[in-house]
Amino acid sequence: MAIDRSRTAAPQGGRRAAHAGQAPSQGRARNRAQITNQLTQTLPELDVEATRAQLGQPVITFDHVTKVYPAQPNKPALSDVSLQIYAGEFLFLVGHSGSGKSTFIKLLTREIKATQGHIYVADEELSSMRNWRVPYLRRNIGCVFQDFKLLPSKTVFENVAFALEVIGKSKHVVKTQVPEVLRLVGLQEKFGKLPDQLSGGEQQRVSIARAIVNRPPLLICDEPTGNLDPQTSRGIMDLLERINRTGTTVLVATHDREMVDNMRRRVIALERGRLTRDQDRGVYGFDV
Amino acid sequence: MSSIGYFFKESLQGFARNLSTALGSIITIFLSLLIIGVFFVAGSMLNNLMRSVESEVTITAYVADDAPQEEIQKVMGDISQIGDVAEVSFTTKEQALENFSNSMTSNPEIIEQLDGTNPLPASIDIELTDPQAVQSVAETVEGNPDYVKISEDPENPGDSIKYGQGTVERLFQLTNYVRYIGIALIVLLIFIALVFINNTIRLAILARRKEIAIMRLVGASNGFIRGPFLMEGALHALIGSILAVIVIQLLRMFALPQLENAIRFLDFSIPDSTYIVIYAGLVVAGIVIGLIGSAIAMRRYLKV
Repeated sequence: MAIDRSRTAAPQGGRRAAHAGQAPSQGRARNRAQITNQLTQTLPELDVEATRAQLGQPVITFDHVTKVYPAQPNKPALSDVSLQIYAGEFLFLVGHSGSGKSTFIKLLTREIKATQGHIYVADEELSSMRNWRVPYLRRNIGCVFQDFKLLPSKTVFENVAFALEVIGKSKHVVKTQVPEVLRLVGLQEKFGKLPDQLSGGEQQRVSIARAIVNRPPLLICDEPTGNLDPQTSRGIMDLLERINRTGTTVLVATHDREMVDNMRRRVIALERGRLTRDQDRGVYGFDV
Repeated sequence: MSSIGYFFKESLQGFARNLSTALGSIITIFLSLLIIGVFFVAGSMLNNLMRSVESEVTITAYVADDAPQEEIQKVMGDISQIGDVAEVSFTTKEQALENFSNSMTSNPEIIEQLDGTNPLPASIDIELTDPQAVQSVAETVEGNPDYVKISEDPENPGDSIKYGQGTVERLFQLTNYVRYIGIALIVLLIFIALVFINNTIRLAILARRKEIAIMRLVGASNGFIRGPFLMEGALHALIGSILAVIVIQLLRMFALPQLENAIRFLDFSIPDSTYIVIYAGLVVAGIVIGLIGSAIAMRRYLKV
């Protein structure tokens, strides 16, 4: 189970270059576009598909995945979804409630198995994966949820340390990595606080810290800003972007139209279990 | 090894958190194992008793008062040839009376009532190597034509042969019944103990559902998640079984002498090694019950 981090920088660079020509709307992007334009004067145009092929296998592949819950045999939660996610990508998973976002995430963490089709995470097929290996899959996937899922009786430090302790990391690792990751999320002052004594944004930072403390190559966030006000949400998204820049693949399932529209990252849209859109530098795209 | 310490710490915490249910399962385990233990002790006593009764099984073949000495010698020679016969001896009328009056020292008036006459017959006493063979040996003696001649009633020689017919068989039957009832009771008690441990651990799991969810989320291995609960179940069972052992030992020290005083003619002593085996068995059985009970509880709640 080694999601290769070394591939990280390359596909992203390639994708950026490839899309630089498309209507840049923001200052930063325009600036980057100018640089890329200068480059393309000397270099041939990059073909996105060719670049992907050159860069080897994607980290996550959905191959015609269908999930039918026994309770609703006529209404698949996901039907015939195929897509690929590359190392180092930052992508949004959007869709209305009941569109299959949560099913998508549960399939990735192997909480549930696909009814049909195959899911590959780092070349490993999830439905045929042995149960005892599932924990090792999850050690490579950080998860953040709308309701934070913090333990109320443990302090901020203990909550983050818990994630390392239960996978058998030594005290030494805990002592060095926990303060480091708490500094990264901006909570260096709050080590000894209990979750109840923190604001919602701070609690979400703790849960992000817990998700990334083991340095997983993939971070999945299910509605990470669902309970937070827009400004705090912005802070959380900045943090996720920073984490993405360290090479972590970040997948964010969200309802937050503004954020998706602002960030202009790859967007995967689900509608009633079907993949309706897979767009680089996309927008939220649903009517409110 | 560090996780063993963690399991222990966590299981103690779980213990403190659910004190009342924990006590419930400890008491159930304790009572079940106590009854099982008492059963085993009583069983060993009964076995011992059986063995001493068996060793006392002899055949007494009564001889007519007028039987000539040489005939008796001949019959005794024949009998000693039979397999399973250990020793053959002769009890004269005088010896029989003496034995009888010795056993009746508490009511000497019975002897006085005899007025000097001796109604007791002489007998050939046969000791056996294998008590189970008592019936076949008795039949062989009964079939011996020389014995028939000297027996008290040649028409009916079987009446002159006494070996406690039926008593031994009845004792065997009794112990078999006791054994079946015991096994059924033990199975029932183990089942009840399992259910209780199962329940306690389930409550412990429910109390820590959130923690378990997070442990699974961050990829704790199943063994690591189970550890504290298995430890907790085993701990309850261990405490329960130690209590049972202590109570049985107390019974042995204080109640058994009273019983021995009350029923003097039976021998209730069994060797210390048997007690030690029973105690060790109870503790091991308790821990196994605890582990199985909590494993069942978790199987339902910790599916991947």
